[in-house]
Amino acid sequence: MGKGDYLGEFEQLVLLALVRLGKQGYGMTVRRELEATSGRSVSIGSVYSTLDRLENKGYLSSEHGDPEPVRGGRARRTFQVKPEGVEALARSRELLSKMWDGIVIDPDVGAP
Amino acid sequence: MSGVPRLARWLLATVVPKRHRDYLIGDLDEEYRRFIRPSRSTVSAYLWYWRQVLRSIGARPSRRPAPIQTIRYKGDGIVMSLMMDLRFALRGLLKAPGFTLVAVITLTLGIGANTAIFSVVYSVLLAPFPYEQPDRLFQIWGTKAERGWFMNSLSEPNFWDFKERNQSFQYLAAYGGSSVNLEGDEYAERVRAGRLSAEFLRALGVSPTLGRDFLPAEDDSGEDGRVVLLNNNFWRTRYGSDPDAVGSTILLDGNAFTVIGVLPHDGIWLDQAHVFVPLVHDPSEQRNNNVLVMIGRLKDGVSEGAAYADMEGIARQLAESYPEFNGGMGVNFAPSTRWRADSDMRLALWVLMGAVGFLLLIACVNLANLLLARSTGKQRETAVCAALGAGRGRIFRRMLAESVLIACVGATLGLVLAMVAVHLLKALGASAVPRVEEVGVNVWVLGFTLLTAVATAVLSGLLPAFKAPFANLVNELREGDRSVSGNRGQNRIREVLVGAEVALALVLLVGAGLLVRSFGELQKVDAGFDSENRLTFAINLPAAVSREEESENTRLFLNEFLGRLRTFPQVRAAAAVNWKALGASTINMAVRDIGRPSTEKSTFLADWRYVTPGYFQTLGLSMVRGRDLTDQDRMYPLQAPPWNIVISRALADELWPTEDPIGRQVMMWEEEQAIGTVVGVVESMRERGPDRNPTRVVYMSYIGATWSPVYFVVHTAGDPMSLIPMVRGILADLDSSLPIYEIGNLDDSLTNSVAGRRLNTLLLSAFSFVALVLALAGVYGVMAYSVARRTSEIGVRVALGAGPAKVLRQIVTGGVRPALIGIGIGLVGAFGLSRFLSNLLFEIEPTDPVTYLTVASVLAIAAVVACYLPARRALGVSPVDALREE
Repeated sequence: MGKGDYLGEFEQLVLLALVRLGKQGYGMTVRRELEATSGRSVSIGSVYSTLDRLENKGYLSSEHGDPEPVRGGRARRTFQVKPEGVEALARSRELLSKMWDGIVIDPDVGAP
Repeated sequence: MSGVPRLARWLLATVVPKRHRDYLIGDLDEEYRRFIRPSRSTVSAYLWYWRQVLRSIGARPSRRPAPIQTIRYKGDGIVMSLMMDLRFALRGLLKAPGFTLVAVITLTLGIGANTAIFSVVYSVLLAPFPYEQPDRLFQIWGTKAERGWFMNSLSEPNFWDFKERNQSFQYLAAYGGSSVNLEGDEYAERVRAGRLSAEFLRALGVSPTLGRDFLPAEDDSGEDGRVVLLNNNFWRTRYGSDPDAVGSTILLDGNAFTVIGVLPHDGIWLDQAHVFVPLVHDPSEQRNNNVLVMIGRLKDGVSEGAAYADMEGIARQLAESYPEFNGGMGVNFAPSTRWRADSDMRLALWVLMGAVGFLLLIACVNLANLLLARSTGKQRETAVCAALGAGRGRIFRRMLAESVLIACVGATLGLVLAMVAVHLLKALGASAVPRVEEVGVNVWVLGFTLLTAVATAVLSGLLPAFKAPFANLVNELREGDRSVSGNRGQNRIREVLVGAEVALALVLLVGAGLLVRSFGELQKVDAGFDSENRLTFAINLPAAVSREEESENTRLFLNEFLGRLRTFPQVRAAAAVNWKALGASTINMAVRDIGRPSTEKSTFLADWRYVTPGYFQTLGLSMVRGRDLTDQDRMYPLQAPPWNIVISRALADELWPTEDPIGRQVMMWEEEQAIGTVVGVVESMRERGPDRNPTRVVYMSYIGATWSPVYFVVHTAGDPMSLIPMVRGILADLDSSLPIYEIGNLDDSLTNSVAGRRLNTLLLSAFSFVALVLALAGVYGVMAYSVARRTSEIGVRVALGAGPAKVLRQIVTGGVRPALIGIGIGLVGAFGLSRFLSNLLFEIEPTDPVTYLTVASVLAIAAVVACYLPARRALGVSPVDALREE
């Protein structure tokens, strides 16, 4: 397993946001979901470049919708997480939990 | 639109990769309208949007300009995008008509000149030979190395001996020229007759287009040889291409000959005469009468070297057997591929080809320069294209498209120009270009033009395309063309181009200058005789007077004829000679002082002529010493030797450099009997053309000789040609069956003798003039461009108090520098290349300092002017305007 098979933090967040959104997943909703959950400001540009990267890795698929007036006559691109994406999420979670295993963080002392 | 910040959105649309653009902007707009606008103040919503846009731009994955990707619709093939490039280039060119016009004219001149010269080079040097296996085919000359003779004709007996004894040639055949009277329905006509040994056509590997070849035995001594083959043109004009001509009878010199066939064209042998008869073996022919040229086709498996050794061996045997005629004889082979043009002709053609090659290079450099200037002007446009995702390859192609388009138009127009030029060339150079009727635009010439066009497009388009502003995209976008004097690197390239152009032009100009100077020298040469108003023509002596025992009749005939001519008031003088004055060939013999032993140093080769009294006066030749020949000076059989002779000053100077030649005796033809006593020395003439040495001649009396045909020279008071009807009248009175032929005048003959040189000079001058104009246009263009870009700088300097004269001097100096460097390089190049011209020059050294100095200064002055004009104009702009521009 190479390095590319693990997900970066922001990639995990975007993927998880999509999973949570289900069929509602597209650029705007992902951005809002991330912002709402993490409380940090996320730009639409970075969301798209990550979505793009994930699609290139084969974790996502996307579909073009019809133009909508509220979008200034522009189409919507909705994203679905593919099984490979779910697997990657599971692997990342497993790796993280392996790394966390046996570690207790004492908030007063800091990391041992 | 409900208040989406347009500027921010436009910015986003410009920068975001196209594949994301719609969705990304759509998402942003949707969120803005659905959630942001309704929940915030207008200002806060605006700020939110702006923040999103700016952060999105900053957050793009690679933090570099948009990924470079070809702008192309899905499904576009390479052809489509090429068409797009060409369409784009066409639009661009149409928008800049001035640039396009100059570029197209430049290339039309370059390609046209190349095509025209190539069409001549092709037909004279490159066209496939009409013979089978031309590399196995040779002409064989006799030589006498110790005399420096390497291209001698052979006598008939020698030819038959070579033919019988050699082991190397499948066919060894001979050609002899002559002329015959062709009797027609109304008047007789003199036509050229070739005498061919029976195997001549088989040696060439050519068959008659109609009828049959000579039979192998038709040149045997037992045959009467009354068969004739017709030249193709002769058959077409005289027989109207009638196939029934074969089998018909034709009257030549009063004898009936049967036409057995019609020959194809070969542009060499078979187009030299109107009719061809067998060269019948005549055992009584003299071994010293060298009238034949010999060709041979090697046997399979025999090398040229082996054949040469074989023939040399035979020549040695013949020299031993007949030392009085063949002493020192050897042989010399000329491959058939050299038959079409002699070495001077080949040299002249390659020089011209080189010259037009230079011209095309200059045209390319000029075009490259123009394109470069244009691409600099379009920097911003190109940068925007690149920013929008046009790939480097695409921009490269787009820049090349313009030069390809210009080259195509230039090639088409060049082809038209070449056709016109070839037409002119045929009119101008009819006597100077061999096979001139064959010259024309054919598929090879077309191919050459196409190749030239492609080379031109690539040569002139590559540099600007490579230099397309790409590396520093952001700077280009920011700076545009506001940089003060343009990109330094580009300026340097343009200077190099100008230098190269000037260097090339200088080489051409030096070449042309040398030829012009040498032609000027040629015009100054005193040919020794007067050519003005001299009519020349030939007749054959009537059969009844031309036999040896009829020499008294010949004398009477010539007397009568000349006497009647002289009765016309417009005739100032008239005389006869047995060989055409200023003709292409001559007859000569060995001459030596009778009192000296026969050695190489004491024996001279001299032309010999029978002339009637008054010949020298007719030609305007003055007597140097002694007297002219008179009616009392006669030849065998009317008078036994020694005969009284007149010799030319050139021969007298060789024979007796310090002594008085009058009264001295010479032996001629190396024959004990043939003794001449010198009674006069006449001024020499340059009979083979002003570029040749004065000829050594022995003049003997025509009285007693029965040589035919007779050539007449008539000095007339007015237009020599107006005398022709009178001449015909006299001739009709004396013998109606006699044709008059080879009518001309000495002025034309003299002109024709230098026609090749004149044509070379004319062409090279024309090409170098075009080169000069193109190079100056280059100098001017670069200067005008760089000055235009520096207008504001100049304005500032003048405003700050710099003297206009000083600024002007500075600018001009800067502009002239590359031209001066080019002149320097060109001088070196010309010095190296001009030695190839030395064989084409007359009395002028290839390193002639006058030419070099003149050309260099003309070019330098012209370059200064070309720089001065635009600089002057820039200074005329008021500083305020210049600064406002800034």
